[in-house]
Amino acid sequence: MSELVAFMIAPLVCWIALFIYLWWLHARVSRLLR
Amino acid sequence: MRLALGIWMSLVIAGAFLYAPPAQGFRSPEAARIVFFHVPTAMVAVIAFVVSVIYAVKFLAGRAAMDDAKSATSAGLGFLFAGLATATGSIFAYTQWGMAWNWDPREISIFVLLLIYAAYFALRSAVEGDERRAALSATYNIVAFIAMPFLVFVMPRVMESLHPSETLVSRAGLSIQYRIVLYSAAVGFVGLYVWIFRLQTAIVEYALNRRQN
Repeated sequence: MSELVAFMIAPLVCWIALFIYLWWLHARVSRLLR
Repeated sequence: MRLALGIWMSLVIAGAFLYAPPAQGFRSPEAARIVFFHVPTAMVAVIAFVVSVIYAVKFLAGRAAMDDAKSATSAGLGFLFAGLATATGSIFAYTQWGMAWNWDPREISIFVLLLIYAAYFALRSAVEGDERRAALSATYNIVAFIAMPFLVFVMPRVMESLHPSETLVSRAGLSIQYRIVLYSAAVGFVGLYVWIFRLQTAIVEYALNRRQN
């Protein structure tokens, strides 16, 4: 179980990083288009 | 909406590891969880190529520069997701079949598909003149699209494959937990595709407007 949790952390961290990046990009693009 | 996608995908990842049980009948039952990411990325790749060809046809009919940009963007995302499907598939193949690449029909078909779309980008980068590039690549896109269903849906079913082919549609194929996580992941990946697609087309639109002004 603990090993599974450890394996889960990598994709979760990757997803959160990608999400934050896209959020930031979205904000920037919205500002540009305004 | 964006926040919902963020939470949704986090739940999908958590569900893939914590909610779904280890897959019985696999050499490495825990590693089979990669199908939650492998199958949806392949689905999204197909969707992206369909969207790409729709905009290619739209471009040829109306000659709007944005339709060409949308077509190219979607083809790029299709290529990206097909690459992800290949990478995750290769990892899974290594644990399940003992080899990362063994020219299974589906591996051949995605390899050819990637080559076909790689040629699309080579064509785009080789042609001078926006209008000409757009018209040529839209035409090529339609030709590529004719090959796509045969590669994705027909060939792996006609030839003997290690890949299962009816698991997703047959009633006995997947347990309910697997179904829930897999379809939720598919929805999440489609959402991710839509988000990136809209962001990228917005950027292109901004660049086009700037060039005109």
